[in-house]
Amino acid sequence: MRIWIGVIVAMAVAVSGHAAGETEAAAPDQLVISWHGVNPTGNPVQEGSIIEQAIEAQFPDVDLKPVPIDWSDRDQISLRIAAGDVPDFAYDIGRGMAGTSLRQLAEDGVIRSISREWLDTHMPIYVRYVDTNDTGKAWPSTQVDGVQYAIPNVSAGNATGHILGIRDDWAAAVGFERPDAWTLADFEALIRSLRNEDPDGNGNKDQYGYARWAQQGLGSLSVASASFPNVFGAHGVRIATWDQNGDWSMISDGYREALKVLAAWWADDLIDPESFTVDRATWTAKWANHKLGLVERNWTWLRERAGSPINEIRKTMKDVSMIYLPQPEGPAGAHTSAYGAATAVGLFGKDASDEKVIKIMQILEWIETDPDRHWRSRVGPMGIFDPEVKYAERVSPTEIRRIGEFHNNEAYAKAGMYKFAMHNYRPIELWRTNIAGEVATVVEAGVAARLVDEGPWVEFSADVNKLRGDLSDIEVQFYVKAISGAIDIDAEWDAYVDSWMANGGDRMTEAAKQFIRDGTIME
Amino acid sequence: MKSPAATPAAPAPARVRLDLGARWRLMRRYKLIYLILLPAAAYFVLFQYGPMYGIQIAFKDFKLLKGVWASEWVGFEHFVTMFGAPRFWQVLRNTVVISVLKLLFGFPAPILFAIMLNELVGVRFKKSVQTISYLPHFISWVVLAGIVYEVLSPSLGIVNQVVEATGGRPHNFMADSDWFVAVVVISYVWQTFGWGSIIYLAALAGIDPQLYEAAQIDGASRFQRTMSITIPSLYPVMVIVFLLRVGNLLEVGFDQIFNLQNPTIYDTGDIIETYTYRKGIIQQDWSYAAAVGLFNNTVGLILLLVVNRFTRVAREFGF
Repeated sequence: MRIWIGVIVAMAVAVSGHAAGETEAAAPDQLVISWHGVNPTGNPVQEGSIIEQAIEAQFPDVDLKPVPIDWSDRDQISLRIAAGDVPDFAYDIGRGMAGTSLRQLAEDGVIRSISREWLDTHMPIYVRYVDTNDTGKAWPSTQVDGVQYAIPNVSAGNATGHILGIRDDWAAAVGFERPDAWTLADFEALIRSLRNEDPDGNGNKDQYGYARWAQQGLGSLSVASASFPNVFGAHGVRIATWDQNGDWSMISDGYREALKVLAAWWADDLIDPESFTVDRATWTAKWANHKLGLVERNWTWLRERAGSPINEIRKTMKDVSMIYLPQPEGPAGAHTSAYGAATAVGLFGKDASDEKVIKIMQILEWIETDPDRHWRSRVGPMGIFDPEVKYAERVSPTEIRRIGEFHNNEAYAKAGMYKFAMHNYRPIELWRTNIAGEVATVVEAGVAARLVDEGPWVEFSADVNKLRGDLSDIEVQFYVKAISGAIDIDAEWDAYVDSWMANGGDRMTEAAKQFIRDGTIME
Repeated sequence: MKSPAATPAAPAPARVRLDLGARWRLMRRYKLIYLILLPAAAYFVLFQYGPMYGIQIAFKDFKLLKGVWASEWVGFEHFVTMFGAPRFWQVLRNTVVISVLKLLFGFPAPILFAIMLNELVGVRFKKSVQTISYLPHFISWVVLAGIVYEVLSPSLGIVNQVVEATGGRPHNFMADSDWFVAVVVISYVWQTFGWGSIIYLAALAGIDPQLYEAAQIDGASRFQRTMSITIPSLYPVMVIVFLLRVGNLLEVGFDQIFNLQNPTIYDTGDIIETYTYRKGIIQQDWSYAAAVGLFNNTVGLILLLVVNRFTRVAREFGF
């Protein structure tokens, strides 16, 4: 028996020794910072990556420890939180930690507070950028009872809203010319042509004029991203937001009318029936395989870049270009929708010391406010992937496409690209890269400037906020059934609204109205 | 013809009650046997009974910072919320409906399959069919769900291609609440019928061949022999399997539903297990999720106790 115990102990010691040997120990005077960055699915950043080394070279007193969890893997993130293992810094755009509310994370003691003064002192350029572009929500959305809990964000990319695009060869095939202004009826005529006139000339009626993706990871569906934003925008609806009166957009009359328009198009077979179950990657593949007509997305995703729809199609058809379209005019004018309010972006774990928080802020400021450094953190250091590549203003679309050869999640993981940066909330307007220039061009051209009002900032107690889970389920089901013709929208509308109210919508509405009225939070 | 199942079973041996000392002596005598039992016992203590400590958060306002013990007691508040939420009743109804349908179709399928296999004459063909039918059992639901999505895809799936070829319009079955339950039940039966038939095939192998010979001499047809010998011989196994299935009525199968479902079909496809998962793990509403889970487990326990009682009664009647 003693022999066996001895063997087991020896094995345990050997295994633990081996495991310990795999991780390089930090120097005694170094700050060890655990960092949960933008890890795309299945490709968490690897320790010792090029970008990590660059940061550590600039900040020799720091030892970064990337947390190898997908940024959208809420199972893993929640379990880590439940186990009390919270990273010092977590980048988040609402799908991870802040998928719950910031207030709940703060009240549960998962995250720690920071100081606005620290942000002003250690991220002055970034703060100025936020203040310049803020629509009034950036700071309140990162505070709980007036205490700062996160680094706010504003997104220049999302400022363009959801833009419509069509490939030029298909436009020509159906005799469509880009209008300066058009209506929903014109829009319908276009998607009908795309469906019925065989734009790719393969002899089959196998294209749909209009489509969206819905699923974002297994078992989840974001109504906001699943929406047909230009159609809802034309009806004055910004999906999943509270309006100035404290009423929820997804039980509004405009929403009902927009659903009826989409349902009619669905009944006429103009919308891809897979719109509610495919993810973005599948949607892109279908588009690149000549199955889908219009593209609809914010400019930062839609523009010419690796992985974008137009670049995917150019892998096989070099001469295809995209024509970007203005918003069609509907009963509420010509508007498009966009993502909702700014959400918390930089969160600090409960155990992060003041020193660590300040150091993290300094690192972010160092990366984000310099175009060259930011660009390197996104596409890799010069000489590693492409020695000819230049950065910032000097990068032409052609060169961006060439970078695309190295633009894949595996390369990102190895290089550490994206992982330590603020990702799509980069302050590009601080330095006029050609991307910023393109965004400006689109906005100035009137293609993307008309957004539905995003409504006021509304805050809920953690308990009230928990009601959103069930309400979201109800909204998604009605949304899908309504558009796909499974129900008569007018006949079922009252029951839908009643159900929404009965499952907590009434309480949330009351809380929203109270907050808008007198700024107090209803428990 | 008299059913073989009607033969009275041998009476169960009388229980002998041992005093504590005698038990202890027996345990010492068979200490190595108990040592073998130790890992299993440790597993149950560590992973089944130990975590029950956390059940108390169903009655608390659980805060991560405070921990399980220090969080405030709120009594039955979460249960009141749960019973007052229409979504909960929808989820409970879905759980029961899917479970009953699985029982209705999933229970007889392996029996029929086993009987059909039993009637096959060609041994090689029989074994091939048997092996192929087992295969889905060994494939994870993550993979199976992917297969189901592919097969039913409106653009690429074979089902919709047949629909289109026959003049119909492609349908997104996986986004249709009415179809989802059917997809769940059919895919469940497909995955389990082969493996589930093993126990019945074993029971069939135990039937005395003389019964069939005697019936044949009496002029019984093949169908009559099946109805009068084969099926009655399976009764005991069928009853036990059925009762065990009823005992697990509220355990619909998280793996399957989780991998197949999407939010568009929650009104018919969301079950207690997936709802608890979302409330707890995704929305971090730990206490409410614990309350829903505790309700599920309590009902399951009651069902199990009732079924256990029925099983004893069944044994007394010779099953």
